Amino acid sequence: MGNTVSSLEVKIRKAFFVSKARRFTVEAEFIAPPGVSVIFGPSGSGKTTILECIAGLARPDAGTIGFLGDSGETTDLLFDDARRIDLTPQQRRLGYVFQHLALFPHMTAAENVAFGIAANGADKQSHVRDIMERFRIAHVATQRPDAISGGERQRVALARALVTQPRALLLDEPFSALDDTLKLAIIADLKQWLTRAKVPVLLVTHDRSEATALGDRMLLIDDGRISGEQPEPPTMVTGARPPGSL
Amino acid sequence: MTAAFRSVDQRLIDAARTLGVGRAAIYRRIVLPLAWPGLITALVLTFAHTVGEFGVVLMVGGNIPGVTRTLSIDIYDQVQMLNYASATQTALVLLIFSFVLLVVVYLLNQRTLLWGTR
Repeated sequence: MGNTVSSLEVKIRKAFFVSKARRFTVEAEFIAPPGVSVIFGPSGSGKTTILECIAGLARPDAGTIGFLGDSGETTDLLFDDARRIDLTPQQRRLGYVFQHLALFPHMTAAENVAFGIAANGADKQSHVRDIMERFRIAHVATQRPDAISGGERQRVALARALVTQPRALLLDEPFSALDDTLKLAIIADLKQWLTRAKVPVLLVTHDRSEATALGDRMLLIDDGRISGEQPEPPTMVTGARPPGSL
Repeated sequence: MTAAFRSVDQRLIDAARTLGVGRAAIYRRIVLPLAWPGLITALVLTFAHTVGEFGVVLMVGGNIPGVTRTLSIDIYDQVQMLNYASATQTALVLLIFSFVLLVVVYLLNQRTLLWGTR
């Protein structure tokens, strides 16, 4: 797949105002090895913010984000406030599946999947066809997103993120709108894909069944609480509210 | 026009960024295609407004045949010369023209709605 196996290391802090009076601080420190790490916690605990910081869509106030080499050294920094490193989302080469999917409404399913592939030509077409078959959406290739089912849209969004061969995959509650049967079917196909592409996957969810079905390890996030479950040290995630905030 | 650009969902642009696509390409492949019905609407309405312009041109620009004479000023001139037949014809042309433009704008907006659903 062209990816070397490496872990994603995240140490970030980001404060923002939820309302005029309420300040909220997200603090996260964890290492996500290849495999699925679930960031589990209630709505509003800062899960999405962590993913946005990693993807480069939001900027942490402080910290570092990078990939660890075999020796455990940080080899590839995406963000480091001290060294003024802040790669653009384009340079980070991470796959991101949004909760709202964000499929391009004016393109067909196949065009959506092909969107992130730089090169043109026969290679691109075969890549797209291959991944659409794997995710069982080849039959809707020429349809626009508003003409296909919710489960198919979900699969298109996954295929679109994976076809670019990202170095890590960020999933922001992508299955929350689906019923359990559909969800488990998609999760099975995703797992199948992940056996080939050994990359760190961060799955954000507040759904326990989703967390247990897909997760290899679980990182708990809750405002103000440092908690971890089944962690491989030094894995933990905290979402902390500073003292004095409302 | 600003509204047309604003109507493009920022989340789509973010999605395109995470897929490694640069700013120029995002503009060309996402922003323009999604904003163009609004842009065309803006263009058409501006054009229609100009064709029917009366007061400002008459008072400031002057009434120079072939240079600053808009359709509505032409109608005004015909009426001044008591040439009602010609004035009516021109008015009819203007009426049909504005009706066609309104239909075009309406169809374009429908298309925007279709794309905006998701």
